[in-house]
Amino acid sequence: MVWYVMISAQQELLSSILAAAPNESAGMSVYIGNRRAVAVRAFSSLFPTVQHLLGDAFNSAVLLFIQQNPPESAEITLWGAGFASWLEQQEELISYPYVAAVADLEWRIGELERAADTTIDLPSFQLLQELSPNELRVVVNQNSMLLNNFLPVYNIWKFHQESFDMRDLHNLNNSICDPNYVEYLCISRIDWKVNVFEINKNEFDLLLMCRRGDSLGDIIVELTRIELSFSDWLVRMLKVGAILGYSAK
Amino acid sequence: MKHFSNDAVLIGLGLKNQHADQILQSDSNLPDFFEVHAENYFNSGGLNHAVLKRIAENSRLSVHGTGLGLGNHCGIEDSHLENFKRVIDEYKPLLVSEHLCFTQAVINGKRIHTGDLLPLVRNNAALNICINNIDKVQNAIGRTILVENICHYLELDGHEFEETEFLNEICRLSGCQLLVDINNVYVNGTNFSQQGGLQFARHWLSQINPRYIGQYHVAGSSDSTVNGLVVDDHGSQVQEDVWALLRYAGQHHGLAPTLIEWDTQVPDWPVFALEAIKARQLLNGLVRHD
Repeated sequence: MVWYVMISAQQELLSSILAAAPNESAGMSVYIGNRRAVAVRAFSSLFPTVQHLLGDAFNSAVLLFIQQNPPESAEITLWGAGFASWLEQQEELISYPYVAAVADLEWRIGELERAADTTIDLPSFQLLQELSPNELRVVVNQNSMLLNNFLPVYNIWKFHQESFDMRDLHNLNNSICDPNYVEYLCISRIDWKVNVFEINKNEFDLLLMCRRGDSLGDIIVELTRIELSFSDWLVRMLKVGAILGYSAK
Repeated sequence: MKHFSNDAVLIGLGLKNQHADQILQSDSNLPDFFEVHAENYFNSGGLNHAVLKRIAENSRLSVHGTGLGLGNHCGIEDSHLENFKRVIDEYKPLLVSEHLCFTQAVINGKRIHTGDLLPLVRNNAALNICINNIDKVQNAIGRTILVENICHYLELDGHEFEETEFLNEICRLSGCQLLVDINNVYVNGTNFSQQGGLQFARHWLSQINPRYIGQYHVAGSSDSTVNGLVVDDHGSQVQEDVWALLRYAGQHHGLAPTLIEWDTQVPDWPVFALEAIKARQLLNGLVRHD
């Protein structure tokens, strides 16, 4: 009986905090307020651009999200999982679909910031001298992600970063007004900072080939078809942090 | 390691991101150890680990957990414990600690996190649950853990033990030690005791078995209250009453590593570092020179 009472006591206390009814006692108000403050602080850190976009509505969105999706983990950085999908389903944001897309981008950036470190495998470049291209495959940076959007997510996100150059405002306006807009992004981290690069469709498709494990020989065939030099492509892929080196197939 | 003090007591400060640059560039006036929250280092890699590894080259660390839930009736989550162990194995801290509270409960078949450190009903069933959870943690990490008394904002019914009695029993039965958070006791006394914070805390401290004390925490609370309750927000410098209680604890129970917490409205590094100097001066004054 005592065990049941104790189980019940912990469940009851937590349920009351989650319900956050009005006119609660002073103590309950503290616990309700603490939980909300922890959530808002965490989400502000995880989704700073979304916070800019939603303004005063951000806090309400966060509190509604955790009310409908009570967090299970003690790792507060994981509380934001699912927030982007949830935003996509909100009726109030139907006319603003880029909000959810920016949330998705920021979540992916956060995931890469927290991921295990990777480094470029310089010795593996020696394999280019030792094996034929058909015997090699490109090693993709596991701290990289590819995205393509039909909304100017990258430009909107970039506009809210400190590094934004106001001379790019023209590009932002054009992309928002373009009904045929499409963007391809590579998000990557080699050192500490996660970078977001806009790449073109050819680069995107070639990286998909790398991710599939296609041989370097197949990639070179494709590069030849689109009239892009291997060395130019290699330099670009290293710059955007998409590849780490080579391995034998 | 060049920043160790020759003083009798180890003084620590909570490690804050905004102070990292100054800590790494500083050659002097560093505390004896830095405390980090375990959950902030559950990620596999990234800048926070790189910075902590650099700091750990010249400073010792204390790893302080906030999410294990030593009082959870639903038990300790295995994945959380694995992550906790990984941080301890990686950084080999001087001290490892957690809180005596519950942080998860099962609601509608799902383990839900409380978002806060919630108080326990102190009865025999809870005692057994805590012992089992502490045993599990100590076995997993291969070392003794320090268990911290929390600040609470509700007075629960059904207690069979006074808080100090409960803490002493937990240490006796599990082999863990205590992290005595003096500010938490003071705030509880301020909020709920007719005697007021200072007198309540002195009595509370006198009831703790000194051989279980492994560490002290001190902190300040900002002036804001919520519905009349002082909130333990670690948002100011340590108050005079709390320094007095630390002196009292040192005089009556002996010295132990002491950490100053400051987690909200965090000041610049020199202001924070001054708190460590105050603590050292206070506690050095208690050292007996035989």
